[in-house]
Amino acid sequence: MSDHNHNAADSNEASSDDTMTDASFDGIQQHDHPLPKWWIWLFAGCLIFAPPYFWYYHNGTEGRSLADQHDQLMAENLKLQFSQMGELKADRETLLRFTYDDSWLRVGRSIFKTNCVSCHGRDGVGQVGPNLQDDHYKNVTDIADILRVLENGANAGAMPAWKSKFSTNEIVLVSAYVASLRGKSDGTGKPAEGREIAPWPPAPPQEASAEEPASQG
Amino acid sequence: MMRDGASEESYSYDDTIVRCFLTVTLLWGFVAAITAALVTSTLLHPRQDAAVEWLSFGRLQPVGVWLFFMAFIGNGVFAGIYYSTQRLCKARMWSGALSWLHFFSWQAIIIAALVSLPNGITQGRGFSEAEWPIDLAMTLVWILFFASNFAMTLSHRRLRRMYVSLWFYIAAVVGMGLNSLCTLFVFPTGLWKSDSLATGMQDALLQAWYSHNVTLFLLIMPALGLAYYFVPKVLSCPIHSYKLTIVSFWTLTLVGVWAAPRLLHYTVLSEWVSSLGMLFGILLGVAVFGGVTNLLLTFRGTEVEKSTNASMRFLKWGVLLLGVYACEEIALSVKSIRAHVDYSEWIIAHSQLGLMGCGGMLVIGMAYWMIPKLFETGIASSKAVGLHFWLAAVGVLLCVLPGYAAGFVQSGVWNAMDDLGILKYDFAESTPFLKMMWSLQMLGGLAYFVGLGVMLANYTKTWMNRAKPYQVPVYHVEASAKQNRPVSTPEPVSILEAAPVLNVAKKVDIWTRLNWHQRWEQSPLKIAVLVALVMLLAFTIEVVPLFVFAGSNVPKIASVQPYTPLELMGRHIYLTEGCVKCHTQMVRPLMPETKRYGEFSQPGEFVYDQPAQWGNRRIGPDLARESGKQTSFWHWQHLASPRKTSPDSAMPSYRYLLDRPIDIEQVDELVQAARERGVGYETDLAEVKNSVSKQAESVAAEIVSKGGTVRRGNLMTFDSQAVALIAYLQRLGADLSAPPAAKTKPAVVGKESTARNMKASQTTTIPSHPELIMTVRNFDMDEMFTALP
Repeated sequence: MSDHNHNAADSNEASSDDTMTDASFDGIQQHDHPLPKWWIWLFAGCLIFAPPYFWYYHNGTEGRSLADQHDQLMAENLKLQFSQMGELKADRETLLRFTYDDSWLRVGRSIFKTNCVSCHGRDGVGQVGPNLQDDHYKNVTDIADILRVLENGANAGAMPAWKSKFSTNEIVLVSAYVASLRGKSDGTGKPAEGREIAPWPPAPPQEASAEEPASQG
Repeated sequence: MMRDGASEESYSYDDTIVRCFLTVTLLWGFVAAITAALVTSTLLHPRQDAAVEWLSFGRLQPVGVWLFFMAFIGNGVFAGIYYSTQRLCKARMWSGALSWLHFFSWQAIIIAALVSLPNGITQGRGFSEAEWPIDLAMTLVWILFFASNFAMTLSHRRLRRMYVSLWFYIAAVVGMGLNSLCTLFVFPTGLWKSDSLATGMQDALLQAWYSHNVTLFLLIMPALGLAYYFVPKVLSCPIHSYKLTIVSFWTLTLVGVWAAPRLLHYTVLSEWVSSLGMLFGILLGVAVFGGVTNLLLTFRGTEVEKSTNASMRFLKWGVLLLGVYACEEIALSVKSIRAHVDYSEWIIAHSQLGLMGCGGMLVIGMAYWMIPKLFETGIASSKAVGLHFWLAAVGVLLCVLPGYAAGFVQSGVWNAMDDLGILKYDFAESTPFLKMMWSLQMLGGLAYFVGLGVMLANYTKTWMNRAKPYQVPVYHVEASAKQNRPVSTPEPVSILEAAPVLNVAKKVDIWTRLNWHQRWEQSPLKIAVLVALVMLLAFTIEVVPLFVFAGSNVPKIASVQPYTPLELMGRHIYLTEGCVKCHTQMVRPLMPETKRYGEFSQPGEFVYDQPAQWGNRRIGPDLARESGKQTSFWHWQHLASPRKTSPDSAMPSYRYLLDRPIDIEQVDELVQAARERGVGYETDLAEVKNSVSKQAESVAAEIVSKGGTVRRGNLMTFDSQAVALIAYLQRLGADLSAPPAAKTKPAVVGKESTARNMKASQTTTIPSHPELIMTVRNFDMDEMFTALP
């Protein structure tokens, strides 16, 4: 009986034969120490954890798949991005307000980077699509026209209509970013196309941005 | 002692085969280490012009892995197994001829892979890159020359009970034999070309299955088996716990093979398979850690002679690093951890830890202990052994630690978002840091290389001092029939015998003593059959349903169409050049990832990918949504001089693709092969020609219109292979966002997805966002059963 009650501390007393199993393999002997308790519990814990985990994620309940979780995070993220501005209208005043709002321009920039650079190049220097940094425009005479081009497309579909792919807020923010690109040219971009147009109107009076905190509630 | 002289028999051990395996182990290890350093240098100094075709990371990386794994660790494992099996069985290898066949054919296989891989002859599948004749040869050699010889030696053993090392060897031999069948799931289309029979997701799972299990059966299991033999031999002290030995062996055997899908977390692989992979992966790590604990406790407080001190240090480090490896296995099984570090350098550092750290250190330690015994003379210089230890340890640390650092930086750069959820960094911003880490890793590879050089010199010197001739001890025993008879063990008595408890309790008590296991230790067949059954069961539950219920696991997307002939050619180039070694094709459903690359991947997108090219490392960005991101002209310039368009890029120049014509016969072969696989091409050679030239011309027209040249030398731009590759790149991801008219809803989107959309629109103020609608639901268990006839 006693050989089963030895604790691990005895392991180095190789001479104490009562902890030794009887067999020897090519001179190799083995103690008969019990399993380490922590290891048993670790293994058992992992084993016990497994079925509930599997059941939780795969019993068919909505919202637990990776895709669902991603969509929820994405929705929350959009909400965060837009909760501060509410539902925007795609009109001239709104666009002007955001064209001069640096903190929102970076949101427009990130949408532009994912969707527009393949034609308009990095920072709108122009590739297939026209250069957006110079003073020449093909389908724009007033700043509000940017919104229309984005919504409905232009040049017989070469510029796609984005209305179905973007929310109105996104259309405003991308338009604002595009408008803000004007005048950033360093001369290395695509040559100018279209007519030269008048500069954008100045920033609207400050009270417009004072509304923002009110819409947060 | 012997009463009857007539029944006496004598035997000796075949150590010549061990000496040969050991010699090639060290030679290959030497080559492997310098190759590893060379491979890293191709990242640090990518070629500027395509002067030497094979000198690129994509082509050399599999060579490095092959050398380290199959040649260095593989031969080392064989040396250890041939040495210890004979002694644990008290029997000579059953057939010397088979031993030699095994030895020479294994070296031939390695050389064949070594020649074919840099020349672009590749299956493009992870860990089984070598083309089908090599895979077939490997399977046959394993089963016919190695497994058979090993099994016959076991059945002729003179010691009835088998030691734990033998259990591990049996599991490895059976497991690897079955596993290598996975590499044969291909359709040969020529002597040096084949297509995977499985497509997309199924093929990716087969690749993961193979690469996980080759690590389990050719690295972890043999490493533990060898350690269980050589550690107590070197220490001359008993193993810490017989019970822990039994329990850790069986837990590892029962859970190990199930863990393969953990390599594909967050991909489009059906989620329940990936969950199984995670849960079993955690158990696998704990089981390995049990074995490691047993060995470490065996080391505790032991003192050894000075002469064996060095090999003990190697073994101790090998076991310790195996413990670290096991902990990493646990961490890397967890989905949310993997979400952060997958495709980063950590994954690579983990493999390096396994191969150079555990495998390499154990093999080297074992070798240092065997050398004096094999050559019957003292080792030439024990100082050199001490030097080698430090070189090897520094080498391993310099390879692994910078890998971790690089992984963390990459993960940070890829996933960092500001408070509004906007990505903070461009993909390439981690590359300068990566280059620093690669330099350190190259130094590590060189230290490891120099260490093995020192060992090789020491080995050669010892060999020159060897005993001539060797004194081969001959053992005499009674006739084997008696030796090999079952040993009866007395039934143990429960400590509860006298206590007033149920009989069941007494039986459980007796069972937990594990004395019954002694009967199992007498039957190699039982262990072999059980290993095979576990493997088949795991395969049946995890892999087979994805083939049988392909419809519900891989919802069809109507807008996904087969590749055009030109794109097939481009894909062939993509495979040949090993682009997959640096580029993934998998956008995972993680916010930073969909923000960077676009909509997350769906299983139906990959149905024409034979084999899948999902990849496991992002040195360059993901390409799953590459279509339209850059102009064809940009790609044209980028292929010729990558650093002109992307200053930090580690990509080699592929200028020769611009200078080499498309071989229309080859395109036709690819199309015909695809047709035989069942992809609907209704074309003859003329039509293939027509289709290729039409598409090539339109790609070339775009390149030329942006400022590309119409011809380079005698070659028209539209005839060059670069155009084929660009056509393929411009196709990646294009089908999913094909015009809405051509796009129909995926087959299984039913009521659930409508419900989800409603819910999504309730949780957000944004009425309709495309990301929320265009999601294909993943597999769920209900469907699997309703799909049954």
